[in-house]
Amino acid sequence: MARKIVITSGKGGVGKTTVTANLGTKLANLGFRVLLVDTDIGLNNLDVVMGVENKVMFDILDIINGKCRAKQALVQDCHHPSLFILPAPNSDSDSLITAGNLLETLSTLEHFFDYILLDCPAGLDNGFHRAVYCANEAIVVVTPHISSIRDAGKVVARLANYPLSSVKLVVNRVRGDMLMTGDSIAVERIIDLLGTNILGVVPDDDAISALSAIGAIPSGTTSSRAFAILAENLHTGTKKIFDCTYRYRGIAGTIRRNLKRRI
Amino acid sequence: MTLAEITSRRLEKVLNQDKKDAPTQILAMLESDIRTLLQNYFAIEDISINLSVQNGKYILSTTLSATHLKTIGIVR
Repeated sequence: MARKIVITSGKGGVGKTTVTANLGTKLANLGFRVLLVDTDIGLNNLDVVMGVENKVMFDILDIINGKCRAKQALVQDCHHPSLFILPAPNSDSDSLITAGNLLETLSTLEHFFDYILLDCPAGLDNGFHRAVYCANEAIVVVTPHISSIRDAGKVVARLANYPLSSVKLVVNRVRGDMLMTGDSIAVERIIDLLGTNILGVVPDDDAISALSAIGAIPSGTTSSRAFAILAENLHTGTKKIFDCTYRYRGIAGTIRRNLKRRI
Repeated sequence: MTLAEITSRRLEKVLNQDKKDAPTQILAMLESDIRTLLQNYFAIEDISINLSVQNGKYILSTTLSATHLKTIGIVR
């Protein structure tokens, strides 16, 4: 039976889809069978981030409407044979997909996978409920920005209404140089303020936005290493935290930090 | 004071305010759940449950009178 994990945040643009895509890829690298589900109806982007938008034939709504079987709608990733994507409809059909419909669809698929990651839409309305209702664990993505942390606080409070076995934080886009200079709130303080356990930390990495433009997932970069740690923490329960400040320590680090500041 | 410290202090205030402004139905739902839980243990004659948010913390005060304990779980 698959672990069904919703990846949510409340605030838009903090990296839910990026975390879903990269975490899924790392879990597939570890040999697990992974399904990524885009529950952002009408504002779907998971297919584009994964670079499979041209391979999409059916979507969740087609399964619900009986136009195809659930397995027919799955799109296999180009690089990982055990990684699949279930796309969301492109059209504004939010009201046609209920939480019950989605849960029923996933129940027909969960026996084939080890992990099902649900990419949740921004906000706290129907789309949020639909995604969280189908999950038994949650990951809240937050960036070290005041608006993101505030919204994450509201999401964590709202998640308490659902029977989830675990709610964990991923702090995304952490700037090591700003942590060193005291210009960015510390990860430990975010955990303390939100009162939630942490799954991991992902550094700010230009490679993510650069590679997402061509539908590729970074490998061998700092963020790629951080996502590998995230996947390991998720599967084994370890509590390793990626050190985002290591590039900014010592003499070379000080020069790098000062150069980045001037730019 | 660093920017991180300023952010941290502002956030603390904002998050506390958000907790206070939490929808009242959530507090009502929690009160209802607590009442149901206590009914599993006590034969309740009278009960008063007051759940509120103060300084960012949930404060629960409960007063109940019961004629006897119920026989469930380890309470026998």
